[in-house]
Amino acid sequence: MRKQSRRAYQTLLNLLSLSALICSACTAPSPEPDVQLMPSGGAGGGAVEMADQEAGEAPTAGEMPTAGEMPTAGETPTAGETPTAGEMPIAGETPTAGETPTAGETPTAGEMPIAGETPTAGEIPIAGVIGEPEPEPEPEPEPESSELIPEETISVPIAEPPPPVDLPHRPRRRLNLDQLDRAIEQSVGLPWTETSRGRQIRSLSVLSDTLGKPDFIAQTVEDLSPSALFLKFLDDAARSVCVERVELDLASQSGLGEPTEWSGEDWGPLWGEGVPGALSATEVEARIHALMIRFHGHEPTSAEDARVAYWRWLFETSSFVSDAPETPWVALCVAMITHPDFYSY
Amino acid sequence: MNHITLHRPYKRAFALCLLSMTSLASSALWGQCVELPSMTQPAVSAEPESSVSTLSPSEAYTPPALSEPLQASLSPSRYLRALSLDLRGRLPSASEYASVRESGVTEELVASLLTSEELPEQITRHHQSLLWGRIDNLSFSNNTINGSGGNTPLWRRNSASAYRGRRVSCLDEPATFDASGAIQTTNVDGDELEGYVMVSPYWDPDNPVKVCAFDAQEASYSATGQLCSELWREPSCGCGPQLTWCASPQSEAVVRSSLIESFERLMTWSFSEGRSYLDLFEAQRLYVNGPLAHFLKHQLQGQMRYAFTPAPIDVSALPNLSFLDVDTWVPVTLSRDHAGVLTHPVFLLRFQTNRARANRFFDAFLCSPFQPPDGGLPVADEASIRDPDLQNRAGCKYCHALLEPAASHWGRWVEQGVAFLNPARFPATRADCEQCAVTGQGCSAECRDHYLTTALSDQETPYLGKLNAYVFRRDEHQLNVERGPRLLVMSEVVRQRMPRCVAQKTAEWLLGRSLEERDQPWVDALGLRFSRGGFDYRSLISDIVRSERYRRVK
Repeated sequence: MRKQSRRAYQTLLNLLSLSALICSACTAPSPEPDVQLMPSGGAGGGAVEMADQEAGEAPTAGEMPTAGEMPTAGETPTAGETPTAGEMPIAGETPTAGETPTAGETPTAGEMPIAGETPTAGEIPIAGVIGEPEPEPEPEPEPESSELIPEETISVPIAEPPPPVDLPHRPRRRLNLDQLDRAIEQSVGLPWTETSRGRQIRSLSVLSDTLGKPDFIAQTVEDLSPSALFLKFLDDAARSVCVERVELDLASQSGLGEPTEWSGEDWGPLWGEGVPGALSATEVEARIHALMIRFHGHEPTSAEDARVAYWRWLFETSSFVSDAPETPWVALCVAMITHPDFYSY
Repeated sequence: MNHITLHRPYKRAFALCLLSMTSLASSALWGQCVELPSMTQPAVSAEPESSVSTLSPSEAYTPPALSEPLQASLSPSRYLRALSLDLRGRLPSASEYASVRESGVTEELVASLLTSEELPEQITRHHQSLLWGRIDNLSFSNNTINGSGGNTPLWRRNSASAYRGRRVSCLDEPATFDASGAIQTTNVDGDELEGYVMVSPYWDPDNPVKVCAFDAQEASYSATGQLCSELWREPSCGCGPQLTWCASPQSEAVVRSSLIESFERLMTWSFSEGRSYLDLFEAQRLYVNGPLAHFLKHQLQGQMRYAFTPAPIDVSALPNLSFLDVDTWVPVTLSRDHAGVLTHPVFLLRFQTNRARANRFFDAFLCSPFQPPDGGLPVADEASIRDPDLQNRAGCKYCHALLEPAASHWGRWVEQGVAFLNPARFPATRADCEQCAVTGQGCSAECRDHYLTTALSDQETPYLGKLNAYVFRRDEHQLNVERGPRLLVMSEVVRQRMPRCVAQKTAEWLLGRSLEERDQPWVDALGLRFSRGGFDYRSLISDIVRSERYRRVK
């Protein structure tokens, strides 16, 4: 019975991965800061570190300003009104027409590009609106011939535009295998193990050579890249521990099994103290908040937080494709472990 | 490469300060000598004096306050997560997240992370990546007793020809003895083969094993009156009671892992709260458990693949532990010649030549790996190619002019081994070795192993009879041999190269990237704060994790 249940989970999770991939491609905005650690097509690629940074100042991914919120012509976004990640220029790139300087580099009024004009190198834009589609140039009255200004005098070549300031920072880093092993155990309450010769051994210690942990004899540098191989085994780990966690908690809640033992901190069942299929929308929302902290250390700022919306979507989709009430929780658990916010910091 | 230039007026005072320090035990003394170069200036060695960049105390780096908002920095909960992973190797607890939700990442919270018991383990992990302290690929003993597979008797291959005429095992049948207790043999195809006896080996006394009777002999002395524990091809000697003098593949694996753990325990102890970072290079202690005590007491005198004698430790001072006491660790005090991790058996066996030892130190703690210049080394003329002194040989001298004096700090630690050549027994020049070298008489093993007894060129002739470490050693470098690796550490601390490099390596560890040109002033300041703060490694870590570089992630 348990094996059948496991197989059902696996099939379902495969479906979920595919749907999550499709969804993230459709709905998730560009995950700019995570891009280097984001597996292509990995489950749950929507949330972005940018939302961490200066929470409350920069709109988070998914919080695209509505039409009413878009800066209007003549308005200059302040540093706290930095445009969304999808509009952010990549560091090192010179913003071109239609692009927006990064926060802190808000051009002054005198530096605004002329509407409809693309500033070229050596030119200082002198008017315009940032982050707004270029408006159609309004037909201007024909100037009298005596007032004609030679075209080359419109642009004022003063100096090269200042390069974008790259503030001192560190890159996102993948957890090393020791950290990952403990993080899985802490978050799920179970270590990822396998049985070898009758003994339970930690799978990540078995895989340490394969996954680039140095032995300081043949290999002296630790490979911390989120390689395809790493992601494959992380996926294996997530599916293994999440399914086992849910089975243990279900058995414990139904009184059929022993009280659940936690090898790490007791965060409780994924769905909390209630019954998995009988949670109200508010309770589900609260559990998603709790899981975001538990797995990613993200403190949702509001229900409109893009991350919350993403996980809510995953929960609802999982509920839709399976009648088993625990399935959405398994899906959330797996997706959260395989998300870059879990395995990197 | 940055380093501290000591102004001339202070050189003499500084030298006196160094010479007055016969021990590095007190980091306070260190502080005094390092404070002297508060009149020092970090300089770029390749640039002229005028371009020296000065970092005065008033310009010293101060990390931003935690309450100070930083542009595009991590949210408090993600900052806490990063801190916890780096400093404790694990995720924060629910209560810590709740605390941050209430009041953000506070000074108290960061202080508690910096004083956590898990921090030394994380620092040790980082230092393993610098020191590469693994020796899993080594096999120490030639006196290994092993089976031929299955439930066959254990036997020693290297002693077999002395017992049986050829390198063959004994018969898989119980041994027989004559009336005097002598082992009886049977002639099989010209070989005299004995049977086996059952022995409870020291590594697993609860499970007796078959052992060939010759190998299982327990006599302490041979027929000629020699100690059996030091012999391995003597027919009247075996492995001793419970096979005490012999190693097995199982026991060797335990000894190897114990040595590595001893190395890591020494580092963890050095990084415990309140200790100076320099304890890493000054500690005169060795952590010993049961397997190590057994190995050091009973097996060093046997046939070893590496030089373990003269033993670097007073064997009589070892704790009385059984081989099975794997988890019982006792710190043993060593002589003043030891220099923490730099003379630990694991470091000496991992880097088996003095040049390799110096090179690792330069790379890991001075950020100055020995590398040829871009474009290669100049082509030498024939005469300079023949110069046996690498400090002078064209091409070689590019590195070896510095590497040879640096390597000589390990001159009293034998290569391919961990033995220590005590100055009393192994002076710079020994009369018997000099005499045998000059006259051509037979030299003792000690002379052959540790002294120059054969000159292959005219330049070597003046050094005949000298300890190897003194060959081609200039007068000003002879102190290196006598004072050992601690002098190297001391002098590099004084030059500020080591504190700066430690700051750089630590920053690279915590930031997860190589440092860039624009980071250099920051690292210089970190290094200066580190040395002026009494080499408190936790303070250095604190400076880095509070910095905007750490708190801002892309």
